Parts: sequence; C-alpha cells; structure tokens
Amino acid sequence: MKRRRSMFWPVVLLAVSTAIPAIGAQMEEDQYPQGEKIVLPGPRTPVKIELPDGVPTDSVHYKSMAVSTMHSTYSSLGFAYGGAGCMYRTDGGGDAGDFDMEFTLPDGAVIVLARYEFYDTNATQNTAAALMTFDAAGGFTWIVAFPELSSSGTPGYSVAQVPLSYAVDQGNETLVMRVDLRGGTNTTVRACRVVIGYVLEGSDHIFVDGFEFGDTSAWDLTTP
Amino acid sequence: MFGLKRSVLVFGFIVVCAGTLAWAEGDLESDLAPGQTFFPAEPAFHQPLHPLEIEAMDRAPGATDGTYFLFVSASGGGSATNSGLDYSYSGGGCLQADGNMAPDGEWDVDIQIPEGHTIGGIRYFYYDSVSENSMLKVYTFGGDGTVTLEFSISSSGDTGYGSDFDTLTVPANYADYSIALRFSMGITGSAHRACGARLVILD
Repeated sequence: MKRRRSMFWPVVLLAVSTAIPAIGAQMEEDQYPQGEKIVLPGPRTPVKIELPDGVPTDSVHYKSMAVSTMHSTYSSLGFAYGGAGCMYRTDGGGDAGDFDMEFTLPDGAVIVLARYEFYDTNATQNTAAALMTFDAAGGFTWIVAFPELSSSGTPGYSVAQVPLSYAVDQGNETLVMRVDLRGGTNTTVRACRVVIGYVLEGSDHIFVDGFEFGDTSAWDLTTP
Repeated sequence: MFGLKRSVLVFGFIVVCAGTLAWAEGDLESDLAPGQTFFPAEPAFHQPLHPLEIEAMDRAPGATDGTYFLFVSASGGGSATNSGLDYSYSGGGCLQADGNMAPDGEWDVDIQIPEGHTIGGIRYFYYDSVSENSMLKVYTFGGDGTVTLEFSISSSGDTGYGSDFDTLTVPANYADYSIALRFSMGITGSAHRACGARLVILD
C-alpha cells in the first residue's frame, strides 16, 4: 500500500507537467523552447498531398502561407491568434470573414494543387478557402471555389485539397488565396495554412504522359 | 580594390539603413519628392556586419547563385495577429503598438524564398529607446497544429534606431511548413517600433 502511494504522486506530477505546456502552448508560443517542434493538443487527420494523375512528385514546387500572415479584407472583422499560425474569428459571425494573400509565380507556371489546412471541431460551422484571380478592373475568376476547399464534420486538424491544372498568366491577372472563417466565432474553427503546388513552364513533367491532365472540358477534343 | 568596394558597400548599407528606418514621428513620407531620402537626426546603433552579410554584399551584380538578401519592412508585410490590437505607423516602414496588446503587440510576415534555399541569418531593424526590449522571431508552421520557434533575437539598444544580427538555419520546405517572421513589441508606445528584417539567404 505504501509502495502504491509512493508511485501515485510522481505519476500525477508527470501528468500535470505534461498537460500544462500542452494546454498553454496554443496561446503562449513565446515560451516555446527554441528549435523544439511543438504539437498543439487536438484531434488531427493527416492527409497526404494529392496531385493530378501523371504529375511526378519530384517535379512539383510549393508555396505555403500561414493564415496568421494573411490580411483581413474588412476592418470590422474580429479575429485572434489560435496558435501554430492559425487564426479564428471572435466577432458575431456573418459573411465578412475573409483573409486574402496575394502570391506570385513565374509566368506560365502551372498550378497543380490548392490545399487548405484548418482546424474544425464545430459540428455546425465550417471554414473554407478559394483560389481566385483578379483583373484589377472589377473582374474575378474562381479557379477553385469555396465548396471545393471546405472543412466538414469535426475532424480537428485536417485538410481539403484540389488537384488542378491552371496556367499562370501574370500579364492579365493577379493570384490570390482567400480564406473564409464564415460563421465560426471561437477556437473550434481555425484557419491554419494554404499550400500551392506548381510545376514550371518548360518542365518535361507538365505533360508527363503526353496528354493534358485535370479539367480538359475547354478542349474541343479530349483523349480519355 | 576589393577592400574599397566593401567599404563603399558598408557605408552605403549604413546610409540606406539610416534613411530607410528614419522618420521619427508620423507620415513624413508624403512630404518627400521622388528620389529624395530622409535621414534621422538621432544616432543609430547597428551591430557590426556579420561575415554572411558581407558575403551577400560582395555578390556580383546579376549573379544567379550565391548568398543574397531578402529585406522586408514591418509596415509592408506585417499582419496583426489580433484584430483588437491598436497600432499605428511610425514612419520609415516602422509600426508601433498603441494598446490592447493581446498579448504582446505582434505582426506576422510571410516569407517566400526558393525551395531548397536556406535562411542563414537575420538582421532585426528596430527603434528602441527604453530598457525593455522588443523581439523578432521566426516560426515554422505545419498547418496541422505543429509549430517550431526557429529563432529569436531582441533589440539591444535603447538609444533609438538600431539593428542586431544572428545566424540560424531554416531551409525552405513549403510542402512541410510555412515560414513566418513575428515582430513582437511587448510594450505600447513609440519607444518600441518594429521596422524591418533583412534575411541572408544561402543558395
């Protein structure tokens, strides 16, 4: 009996010392030890990068941006930092929950992946991202619309992604990733990171099998 | 010849820093003519150049490989990490926190460099006129709740504009993580201003 009691407190102290940094980690990144990778508490569903058929992984380059570095499009939007580069909404919800980030790619590069990484444990609210282009004359195009890059259910940390084939045209449009926190108004819905995968113009790997990939509906004739 | 070139570059660097980080208060930029540069009256403290910085300065014009710089300003790239933060522009690309710190008066800046290149050093430019210090940090974020504090450096001066340098090793691997700078003021008021960061990138 005495022996069992002697084991009790070390176990409790170990559990507490482990739990406190984990709980505090989300908001107290200033106190992280430098160089140590921290994993914030919460459920997570790892999802591998999904590329279009025929695109070798070694031909793909990436850009990724933490949502904490993106810009809100409304000054009225209430938001706060959710840890690990993620943001969450703090105001009453509504439609204006957007963060935008412009990014540049070499002209002629082909975007092959749009990926949105988020945290969602809210059964009724979701978050979504979109890939857009603007012509700076009032026009815009959804390259990947919100429904295609939306959270659903309550997976915790998870991913939505779309393989695609979109040629960059820097002369006529700007590229923007938009993240929408929609109705989420607390830490249960967080926007974390966007990832763009692309291959460079002239790469032998763009049409690796000699055929176009992705959406070929614009072509007069397609090969199955 | 090489020494002269370096001396000119170092002098030019100091002049550019002083000019870029100038503007003591408010938006004096709007009074400048194109091409005109403003210099602050206050003395600046700059930690001596690191060999990596000199290597980047010695890079041949037009070279496509070798060590090079990426220079970002706080006002140009910084996004407040909390909508409640009150902040204002201090001039010269600098930002200051004015209230509702939530928690430390911070702005994040996205860093994009070619994949495979490595951040080898960072010079933090600031204004600091008090004994407390502001900070610049580098985080990598995995998007799945993982985060690593890769680097942190404090303002060391308390006499006004200044800069400090230190080395780090953060390779760009954007499939696995994004890279963000974080300016963290710690206190409110114009005594702490985040002005910019100059990264040394290793090809």
